Amino acid sequence: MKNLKVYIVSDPTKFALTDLYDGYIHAFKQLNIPFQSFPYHHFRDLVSDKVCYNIIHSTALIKANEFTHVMFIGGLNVPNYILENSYHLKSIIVSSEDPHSFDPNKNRINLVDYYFSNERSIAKSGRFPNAFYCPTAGSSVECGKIPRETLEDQYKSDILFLGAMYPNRRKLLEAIIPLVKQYKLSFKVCGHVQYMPKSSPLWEYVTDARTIPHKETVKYYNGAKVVLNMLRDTTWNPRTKSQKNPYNKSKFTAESLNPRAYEVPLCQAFMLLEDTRAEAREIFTDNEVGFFSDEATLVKQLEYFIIGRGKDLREDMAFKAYKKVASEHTYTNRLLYIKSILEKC
Amino acid sequence: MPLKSLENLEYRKPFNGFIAYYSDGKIIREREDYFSKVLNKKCSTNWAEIDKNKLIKLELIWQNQVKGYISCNPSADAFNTKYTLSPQDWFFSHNGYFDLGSKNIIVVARNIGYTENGYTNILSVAEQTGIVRIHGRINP
Repeated sequence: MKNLKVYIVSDPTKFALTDLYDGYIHAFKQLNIPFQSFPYHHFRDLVSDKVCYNIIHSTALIKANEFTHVMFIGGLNVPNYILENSYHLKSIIVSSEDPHSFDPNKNRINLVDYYFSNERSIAKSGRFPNAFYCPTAGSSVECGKIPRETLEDQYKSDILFLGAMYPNRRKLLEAIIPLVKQYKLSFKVCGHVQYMPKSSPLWEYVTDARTIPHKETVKYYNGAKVVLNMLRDTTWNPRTKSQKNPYNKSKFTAESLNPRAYEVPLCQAFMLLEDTRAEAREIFTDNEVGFFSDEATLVKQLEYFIIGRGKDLREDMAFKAYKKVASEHTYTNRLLYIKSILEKC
Repeated sequence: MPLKSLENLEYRKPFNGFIAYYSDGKIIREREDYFSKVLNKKCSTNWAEIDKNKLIKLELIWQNQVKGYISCNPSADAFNTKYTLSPQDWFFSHNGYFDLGSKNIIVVARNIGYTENGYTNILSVAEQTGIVRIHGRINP
């Protein structure tokens, strides 16, 4: 394909998908692929969704713009009429999803030309010929190492958890409180904690309860001795707040890692990663990150890497993980893969 | 005033730059502000003088520590993972600026890397902090 030109549209939500969008924008620039961007998440503050999608649809179809593809990040909110009426353009959705959040797209995936899913079990199920496996990644432009001594104290900690407080994560974090108290460690919990019951002892450690901007996330990762990465409980639903998740009717197994698994190593920070999903040990090794599976192994690993002999290994392991992610798991690597698929079919 | 012992004197400042290893055992260090006979002009380094036909390993050193290297021989620690690429595809460069105050060229980072299918993989070491950054670019 000689004249590839992509119209890239962000997701309306100002959440993790914005990082994905920014990562791909950097990758387009790095690879010199012609593109035009539409930061929908900014436009949404100014005009209604309906107007936004009308702008996107009409801009994409202007022949003078010479777009060959329109690429939606996330893609959950894209109205069907855009996918049905893309005429000379090929449509792409690059999603970052859990198996249950795939449900709304499941019945209209045939409207999209290329569907790139980060969830391996969806992409490789063989049920959707236009679905391709494209794991999440990190941006080497957005993430990087910051010398710890230059960081403000608010970002420094011994143990950091940053993310939404799903019940499985809360259970794991509550288990480390005795260790934190015993060794008087600095333990910080940041992010969306609204799912946490008022009675939880974790409230004592909540230092920043908001959607943390990406620049600050990088500072938090850099300031932590150990960053905890727990994967979401896909059986729990934040809307119903119960273990009965009405979605994921297709029963896809969650196998894939979250973007944090790549962003933490890109900051050259040490990560303790939950190994309950298949990809964890396929992508990383024991020489690069620490693994845990449950409360007992988490406490053991924290003790080893903060107080025990492992504290001297952290820097070396974090650098090995950085080397792997920076050369194999950035959005540039992912865009090269997407480009190869677009050129092939 | 007592004389300082020789051990305590620092004769040389810690070395930053590349070390090139040749197949015949010769080792060449980076030299700055070098007059290149190959290019017939003053260059910021002696990289242009390196004979890539003899090159088997290229190390990037910061404060006497190896921060990364490219090698012809397979190694788990090497920056390059494909050893089929020839040293002709390897490179070394500086990032820096001309400081109008001191009239000196200030090095911000030193880079080693290799080009594969038109894409250059770069390992940079910041001159001040020694922080390693791996990134890439498309060759114009």
